[in-house]
Amino acid sequence: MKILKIKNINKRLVPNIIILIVLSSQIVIPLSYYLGNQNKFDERFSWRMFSPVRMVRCHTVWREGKDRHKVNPQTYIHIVWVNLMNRLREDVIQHYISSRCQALSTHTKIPYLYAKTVCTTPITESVQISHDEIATHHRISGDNHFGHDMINKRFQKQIKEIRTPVYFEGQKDIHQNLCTMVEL
Amino acid sequence: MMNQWHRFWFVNKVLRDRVVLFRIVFFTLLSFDLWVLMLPHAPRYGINHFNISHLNIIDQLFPLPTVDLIGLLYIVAGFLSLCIAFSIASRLSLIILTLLYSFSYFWSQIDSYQHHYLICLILALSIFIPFNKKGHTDYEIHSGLVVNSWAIKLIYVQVSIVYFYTAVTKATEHWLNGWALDQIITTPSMRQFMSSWAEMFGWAEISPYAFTAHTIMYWQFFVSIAFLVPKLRVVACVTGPMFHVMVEVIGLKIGWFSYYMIAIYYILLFPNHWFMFLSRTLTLRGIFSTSNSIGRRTYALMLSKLSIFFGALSMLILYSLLDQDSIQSVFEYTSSLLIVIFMYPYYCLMRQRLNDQNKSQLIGWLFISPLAILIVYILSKTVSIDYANKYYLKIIWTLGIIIAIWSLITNLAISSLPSPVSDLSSESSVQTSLSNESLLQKIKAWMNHLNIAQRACFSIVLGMLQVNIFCHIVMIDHALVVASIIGGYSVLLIIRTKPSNILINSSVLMINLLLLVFSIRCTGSLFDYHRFWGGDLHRRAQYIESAKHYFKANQMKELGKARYYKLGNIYLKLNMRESALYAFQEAVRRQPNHHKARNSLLKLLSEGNQ
Repeated sequence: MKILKIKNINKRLVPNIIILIVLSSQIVIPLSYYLGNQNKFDERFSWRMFSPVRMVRCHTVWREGKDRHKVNPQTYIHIVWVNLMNRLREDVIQHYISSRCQALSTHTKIPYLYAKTVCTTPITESVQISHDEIATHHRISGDNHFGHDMINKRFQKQIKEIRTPVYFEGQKDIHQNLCTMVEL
Repeated sequence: MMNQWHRFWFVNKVLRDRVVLFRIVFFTLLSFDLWVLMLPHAPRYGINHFNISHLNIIDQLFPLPTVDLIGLLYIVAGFLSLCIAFSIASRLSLIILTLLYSFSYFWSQIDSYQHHYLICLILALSIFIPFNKKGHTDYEIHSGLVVNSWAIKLIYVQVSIVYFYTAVTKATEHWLNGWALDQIITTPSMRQFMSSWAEMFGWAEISPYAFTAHTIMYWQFFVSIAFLVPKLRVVACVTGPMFHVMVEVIGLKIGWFSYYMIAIYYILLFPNHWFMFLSRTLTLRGIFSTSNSIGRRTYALMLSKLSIFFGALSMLILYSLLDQDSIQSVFEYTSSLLIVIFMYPYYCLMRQRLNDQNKSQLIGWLFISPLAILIVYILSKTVSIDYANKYYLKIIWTLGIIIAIWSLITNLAISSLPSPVSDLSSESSVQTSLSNESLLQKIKAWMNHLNIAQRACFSIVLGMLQVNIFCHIVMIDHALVVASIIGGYSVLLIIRTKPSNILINSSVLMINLLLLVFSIRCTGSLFDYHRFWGGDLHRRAQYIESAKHYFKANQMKELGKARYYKLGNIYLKLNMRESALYAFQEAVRRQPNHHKARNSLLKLLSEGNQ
């Protein structure tokens, strides 16, 4: 009888381990979105479908060179990546900045890249996010994040406090050269 | 506590029919999803060497994805998925499929669809489902209460977790007050419906959205529990498909997620007696039951007559095509003929399996007619039939294809049943041993005596035929590589197949390839593939490459609206005036109301005259 029980336990050891791994990962990973300190705009693996965050519409204006001429990122990358950047996906933005700065550094001694993002929602004020602010935040705090924790806080604050629909374009100038943030 | 855990996971009897149907429906859906929906998006990958994967380790260990590689992964994964649906080397194919699909998903954040992630998880769990476990007694076969699988239970739990977190997401003020839903719903008819609803009750404009938002959230919490509590499933299995149909009506861009979920609701949540009744009706399982229900027989006969009618009709059209000189090459016809001949032994085997002449004829026709329709359909796409004024032909094709797919699924379900031949008396076996059976026996006997070298030769011929068909019909870069992988896998499967199963497996592998070619070539998948690629290259001012892909896209579309106007403009940018002239002419010929193309053509002609 005992042997039979031990055999059963051994037989079910692998299934039990798999069940535990799947269950724990499927509970913890989505939970980390809510409890963790990650970018709230990155909803991958959290089973957040059609969340209010997804309804935020952002647009980033990219400028390059000393003369700060406007560039369309679609010239360099596929439109899906541009859409992901407009959804404030941190690692995509970071990768784009480093790849653009790298590409620009082959033509000029000092590469210049500037960006400004404006986000609007139908019922909140537009959340103006200029990347120079983020860069400053990045330099002060010295962390590896692109500053989206700050955006998150600001966005959540806006979403909590402001109820009237206001649409406006951010007027703030861009100061920070983003290429100084990345290692080339 | 341990006992409860044990009972929850390991004492879990699921109808075997559910497992079989899950295999057939889920994996068939996945294969067509990969070929029809995902393949056209392959040109998004690796543009300008820009990519970020979902997991950092992939970036460090693997090269960047390319369009060709992703296309290859999708096509091969679809083929494997269909192999699993047809129950060929399920476990091996499933392991490879899980690796390929998951890798293609995690390789790039360009695919961030959460339902693709869910499919990765379901695929991984499916590896542990005993798909090939068969009942031993008649009772077990017909009642089906034989599968005891913790992996299926884990799929229930997985889906439950998904619904739970989705509901949690919606427990915010901005969802519940209706503005998020107000943003999501963009279909005019749906918005009008919401407005009229508000008017009817004298509510504020946003109120119906808020009401719906509340309902959705509470319903999703309920469903997450229903997947775990069997007693609640009756409500969930009715409301679930309704919810996902509504999602489709609203027009959300979520691929085929709704279809997957409707299938899951039907397969996993329908109460046993409903499920048995529906599956018997839909898959004609009734004709196998011992009872001689007149209704079932009439139903089966009606279907068989319909299939025979469409089969004969398709053969007639094939004949009329042969009279014309419109067939591009003899290759398509000979290969399709070869396939029909190739299917004959399978038909015989089905007759033997059913052990009844009438039933076997029915099944034989059911099997051969969809195949014939498929072949003719492929031919009609590869040759240029002008359907412009022949709507009746279109209607016949549509009906034919619907019945063909239905019959094919029916036969798949039937073929998964064990053969009753051994259980029956020798007398009845003798009665049915007609000329077809003797032919089959000869073939089977020949097959049984094949040594490994002969089997390898047979499989290589099959593989080469597959490669030939694929390369001839599917025009993509590196088609030979893709076809070789598919052909090579088929060769491998046939070599390791039992001699008695070689005929069935090789027939099914050939059908898989035909379905692959059909879905890629005839559904506009390849047209979109080249069109999207050309469009992206155009945006990045790579005109020569863009023209190349637009040209290929246009080749995929013999009739109707194509991309000749765009191609013409690119030719103009490249200073290829003659080519541009041809492109504009073709655009106007296909769309006489295309004013832009007409103006460009006139401008070009007047410039030429000057």
